[in-house]
Amino acid sequence: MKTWLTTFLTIFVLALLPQNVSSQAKKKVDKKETKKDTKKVAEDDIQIEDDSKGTSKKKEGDDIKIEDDAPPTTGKVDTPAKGGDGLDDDLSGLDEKPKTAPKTGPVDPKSVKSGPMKSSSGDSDERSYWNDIKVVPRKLILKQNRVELIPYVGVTINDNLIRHILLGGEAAYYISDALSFSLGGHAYLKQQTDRAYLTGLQQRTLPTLNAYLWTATLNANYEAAYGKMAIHNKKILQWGIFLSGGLGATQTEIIPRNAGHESWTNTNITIQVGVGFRVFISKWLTVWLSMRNYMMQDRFESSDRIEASASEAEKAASGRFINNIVFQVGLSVFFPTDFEYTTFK
Amino acid sequence: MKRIIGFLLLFNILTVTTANAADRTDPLKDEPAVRKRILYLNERLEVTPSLGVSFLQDYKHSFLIGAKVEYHLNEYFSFGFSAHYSPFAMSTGLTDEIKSTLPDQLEANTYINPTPSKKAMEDALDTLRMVIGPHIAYTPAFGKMGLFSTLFFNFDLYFYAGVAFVNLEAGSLKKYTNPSTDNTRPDDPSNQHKLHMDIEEENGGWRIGPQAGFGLRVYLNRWIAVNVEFRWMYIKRNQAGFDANGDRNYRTFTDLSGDATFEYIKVDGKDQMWENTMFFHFGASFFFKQYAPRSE
Repeated sequence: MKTWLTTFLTIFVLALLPQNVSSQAKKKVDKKETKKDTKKVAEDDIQIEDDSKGTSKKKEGDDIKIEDDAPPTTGKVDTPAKGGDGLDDDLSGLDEKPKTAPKTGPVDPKSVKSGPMKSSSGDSDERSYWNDIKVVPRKLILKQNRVELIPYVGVTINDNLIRHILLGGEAAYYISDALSFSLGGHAYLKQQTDRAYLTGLQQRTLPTLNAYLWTATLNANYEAAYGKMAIHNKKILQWGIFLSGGLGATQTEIIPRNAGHESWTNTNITIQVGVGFRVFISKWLTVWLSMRNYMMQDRFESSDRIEASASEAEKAASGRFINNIVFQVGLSVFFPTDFEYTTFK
Repeated sequence: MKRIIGFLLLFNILTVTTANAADRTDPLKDEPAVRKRILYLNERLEVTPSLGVSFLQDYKHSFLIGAKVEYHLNEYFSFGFSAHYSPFAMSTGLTDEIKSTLPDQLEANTYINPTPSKKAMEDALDTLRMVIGPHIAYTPAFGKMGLFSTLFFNFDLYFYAGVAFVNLEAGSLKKYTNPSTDNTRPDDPSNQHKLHMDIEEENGGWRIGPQAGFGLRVYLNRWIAVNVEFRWMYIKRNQAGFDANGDRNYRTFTDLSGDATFEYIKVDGKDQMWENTMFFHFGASFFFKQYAPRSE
């Protein structure tokens, strides 16, 4: 009986002991690391406002301010950008919380959850260390020196009479995190719309139509805007908006009004301008959307064509400037699939 | 005794280690991704005056001016009502192209050549005048964006769906027609340069259909946002105003020259088809009350 009692007590004491010891040790470590980190933060020019000075001006709940939109290649902290109205305070931490918390000292998740804590000594907030500390974590996804492959499908959207489905792809190389050069191209599959049929029925006129065959362009792309969004305040997604411009060629084919007439093809110099949107699913996979205008001077069958031969009709063809606006959607894959930061955390 | 204590220590280490391992789950699991964020929407009224323009229209681009009023029940769901009026419209490239191929006036005998004149074609077109309707909206995403690494804004994305009541102004094709109700034969000289048509139902009036879309609000401060919205509607209409299904009316005239039956192209409700109508709206959203608190 005595042995069992001793065993029980030993187990009980030993079971409690490590947690107490570890929690006490953790508190000590917290204090040490906090002091150390505060010093380190100060050395790194990260702005720390004295809580005693700033408390009266601060808004309630501005615990940790995290600026995560700084250029990735800089190891030091930039002056926080002005978002107006404390916008930069929002989304603080987002998904960086696990990474940033150890950086500036351990944060007890329970205290994060429950908000400001009252200390036993009566201080207003044990976590006042964190107030107004601005931290710039590294950008989550880097693109510099990576290749992006983008298979996509698309549809032409600005021709009421003929619609084209696009199948194509693009390969881009990022010389910086914002600027890339790409080579892209696609083939077209044509579909005449109901309106093309109705125009003949209602207005008694057969429209002049060309079918697109293919387009290839060399492009420069610049990521003009980037950001992140929270889906239902749970899932964080990184995204970017890019501008695109390029030069290339498009081949088109005449659709003769008279089925007995020959058609011919045109190869037109093409200028591309567009805007796109990219959402990162992972470090190497994105959903890619783009709206582009492929502009060209195209040649059409003459409205009073009587020649059956293509060569004769081509001489009488009329030229017109075309805005071929397409909507493209694809999945892009970055290679290498991972990347390394070259600057200090 | 030493063996027992040793065993107990070992047992204790193992159990504590296992328990700690079990506790080491992601502390942020099921936690909100963003804390202390500005609650721009919760229980606020949004008023958005806006300008709009249609796109992908066959014959006429409509320009809209109007407003949307929306009440946000919480950060995710809202309901509202929008009303937009179109003071003017503009011909599309297709209209101009078709007109360029049409004759200046109708043929004398439109039985042989029923091609409409430029003016008849243009006057036959309907014009979208008003779009109103209630909707419910869902705002699943919000975030922060940087523009040229210089300007930073908060934004949110929303989707909405509802019912659209669309007012179309009818074309005026009737004045170019010789209907079957006339007591004159269509081959009468007085009916030259007229289309032998019965306009039984004009292409104007109110239409009802589903509407849906999505939008982006970019916040300039706590109560003003720039609003860009895409709106899709699906309504029945006959944009061109002419017969689309090929049905006819027949009338027999009896006179000294004998009985003769003539056919008249019929334009009625059956010539309407379900068509996509799409708009972009650009506006400014004003939120009331003006103060937006932060979340926990």
